[in-house]
Amino acid sequence: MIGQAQVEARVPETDGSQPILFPEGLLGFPEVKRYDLVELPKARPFKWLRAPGGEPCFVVVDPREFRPDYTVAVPASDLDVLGLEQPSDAEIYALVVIPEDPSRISANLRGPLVINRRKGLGKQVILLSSAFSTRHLIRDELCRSAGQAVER
Amino acid sequence: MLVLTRKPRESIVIGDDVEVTVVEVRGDQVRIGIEAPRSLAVFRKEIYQEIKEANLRAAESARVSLERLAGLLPEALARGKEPSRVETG
Repeated sequence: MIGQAQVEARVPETDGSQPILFPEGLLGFPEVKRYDLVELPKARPFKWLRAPGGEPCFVVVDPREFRPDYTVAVPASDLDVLGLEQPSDAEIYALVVIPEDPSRISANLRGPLVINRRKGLGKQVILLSSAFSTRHLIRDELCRSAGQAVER
Repeated sequence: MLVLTRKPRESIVIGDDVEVTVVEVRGDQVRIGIEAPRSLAVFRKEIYQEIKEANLRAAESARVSLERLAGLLPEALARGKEPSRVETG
């Protein structure tokens, strides 16, 4: 389609990427240590975390986009793995699950990715607290942070 | 698997710096104390398993075209943000 081609010519598919080394891999993918964090101008604020071969690939988002009060208590040992001098230097991403019904898009807030972009290092951190689960519906979180109950 | 029998308050030592103590046995529940260096992650197995499965689901569901992503994701954010604008405006 010509129209679509024109749109894509104006908006690039991706807008740069940075290699991130996960020395311990991600749970379920222990053998994959290297990923690229890919900016997606058309799907902001979502990004790809993609192995150089293309698989595995994850859609990730900073949870604070929909959950402003989200914080991660990064254990001291993990700060060392990440070469982080202070937690505020870290970027935080949640892995997103996209089902057929887009209103059911969810994010894993229990096992966030903590990334030190300056050093290109990352780690999936498991939160000790059960305050967050592996499946938060983004829609519900947005309604919640707006101070409204979700009504059906 | 190495299987050892222990009584409450008895321990097992793993390597130089990990100690696992049976704190209490009550019915079908056992309370276990673990002393280990901070560099060692200690979790209930269920949460490991849960996050592993969540990662696999995330990888599976990310196999969608960028066109679908571009259409769906901002919509999901925008749709939820509408009440926020109503609330503050």
